[in-house]
Amino acid sequence: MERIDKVVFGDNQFFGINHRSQEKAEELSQYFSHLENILKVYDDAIDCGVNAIMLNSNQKAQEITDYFRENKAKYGNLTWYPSIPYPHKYADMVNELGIIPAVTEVLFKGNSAGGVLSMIGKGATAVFTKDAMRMMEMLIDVEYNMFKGLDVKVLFLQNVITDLLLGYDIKEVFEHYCEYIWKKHKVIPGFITLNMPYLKNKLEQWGIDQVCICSSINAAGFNMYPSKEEYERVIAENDPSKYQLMAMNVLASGSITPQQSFDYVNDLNVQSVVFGASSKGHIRSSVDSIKLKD
Amino acid sequence: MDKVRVGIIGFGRMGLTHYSIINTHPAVEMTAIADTSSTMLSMIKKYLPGVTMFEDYKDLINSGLVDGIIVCTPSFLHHPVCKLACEKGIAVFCEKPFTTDPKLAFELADMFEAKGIVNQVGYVNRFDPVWNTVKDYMQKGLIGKVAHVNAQFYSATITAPQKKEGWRSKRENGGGATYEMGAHIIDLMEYFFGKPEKLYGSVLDYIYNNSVEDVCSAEIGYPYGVNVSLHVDWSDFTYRKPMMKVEIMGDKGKILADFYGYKVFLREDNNELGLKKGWTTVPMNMIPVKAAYYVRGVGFTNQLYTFADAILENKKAEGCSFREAADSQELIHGIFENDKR
Repeated sequence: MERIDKVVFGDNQFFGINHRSQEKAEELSQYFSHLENILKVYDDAIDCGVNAIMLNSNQKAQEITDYFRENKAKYGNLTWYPSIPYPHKYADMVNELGIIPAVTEVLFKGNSAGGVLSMIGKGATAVFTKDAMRMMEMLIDVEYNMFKGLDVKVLFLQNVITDLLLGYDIKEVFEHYCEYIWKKHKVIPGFITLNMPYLKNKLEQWGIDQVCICSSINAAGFNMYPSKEEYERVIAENDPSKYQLMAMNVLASGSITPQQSFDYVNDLNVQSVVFGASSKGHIRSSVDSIKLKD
Repeated sequence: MDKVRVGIIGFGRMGLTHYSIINTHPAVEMTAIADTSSTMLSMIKKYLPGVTMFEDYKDLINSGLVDGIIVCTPSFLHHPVCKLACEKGIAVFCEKPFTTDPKLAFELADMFEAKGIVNQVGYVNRFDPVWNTVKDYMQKGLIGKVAHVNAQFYSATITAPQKKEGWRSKRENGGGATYEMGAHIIDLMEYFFGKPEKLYGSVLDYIYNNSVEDVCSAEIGYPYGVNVSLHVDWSDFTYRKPMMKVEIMGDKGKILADFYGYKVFLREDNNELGLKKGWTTVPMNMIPVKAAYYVRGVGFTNQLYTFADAILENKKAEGCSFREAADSQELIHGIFENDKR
């Protein structure tokens, strides 16, 4: 498994996600509804030494990836860490329509994510709803479409979906997902989770490795289930040649300084940090503060 | 009992989520699912070999395969499902709103209490760390005697006239702003202040829907003179995500709380709780949280773990009981009947 980038630039700041202030998040979300404001932050980040970008496949992502594809000469050596799917889209549809109609709507009605009508032709709905694994493959392809042509290193499954599936305790789903990502898309399969110890334990039990796991890791223990202590134990014992660990929500630690927050992660056996910021000063100080071992 | 066998009736979005969560409980064994969609059942069947699929909930309840059930059907089915489960001595976790008829709600509460069967309704806020903290502070007298509460819930659920009739457009399915959102506030107020004593008045507004209300306002009286102004609007397009806001005014201070944390204003220092005079702001990520597993929120996990533990230990579940949910139902019914508009 190829080593993942130590510093990855995330996208929460663009899409109204802020664990400390919802008002601030909404304000930023409005500012970043204009693509040029997002692109300016990316230019700042790259200027500060960022080489890797994590991006969720939400409505805005298509415009962003279009831009980077068209300007490949300018941003030649960027690596990408997409996460799929955009869960809110599915949540609303499932709520309104029910799960099967929602999935078929995404797959067959040619929505903004791309649709697979063109790939397989009409009338296949009934066939595919009988084969959950094939349906999963098609959903992955629909969501992954917008990242095609970029240098993708890891394809992450978004935490809402990872953790929902994980609760079902079905080995085949995880096995099939990872194999499919390796074989079809030739990138490292990744999982974002809020239950890292539980996930890693299951993957080991199932004999699935060569996987990247992204989870909240911070001094406050925020979004670390079942506990910060359990995370620390699992991280210390981890073999990075099997599971590369990426830390998110590093700064969600409240009362301590950003430098102390990064130092907490720097001292752990973690391979990568994904962080988000919107001002150049914050981006620079974050990049400078991430000093992971190895 | 060292294992508890659980079945799910109604395998839509809530059923799907509840399965994932409760299946992580070490003592829970998932044994049965009932849903009217045969497509759904046939798709998941081969991946869940230990789970028996039923198209009729009656067959699931009569199967002898479950000690407890999670009911996620449309609301009008809650009563017959719960009633049959009670007759068979099966514990029930029922989604909200509990029923759409207070008489039936109280009938179920009486039945389950008479037989001493575990009963719980999915009012998830009772397991949320923000609301737990607010209740704890009030019980410890942090803001003194509470006089007035503003309780609001906003979302952008319905922001245009509805072309198709979905489940949300029918009151008997739990549709409408009062059932979908107001019920959560009403339960939270009962959790904070006890059984509601008086409905002073209510106003419902129909903005985009003809069949169910989009906005609900009510003035409600609680024990010890607490008055609650309820305002719910599921057609507020300025909210990207649903937002519940509660403002509690006491004679020693005030608490403001929402899904993202809380703020306290105190007229004097409170040494016992370590809070200073003036404003203290505590964001969500600074509130201590305990949950064994996370899918949709800590509350969703802890309410289901509580249900499983109650069956295992043969004790009363700590969440919202059928009795309390029936109180809410009675109040909601009053809100509909007293609509002044």
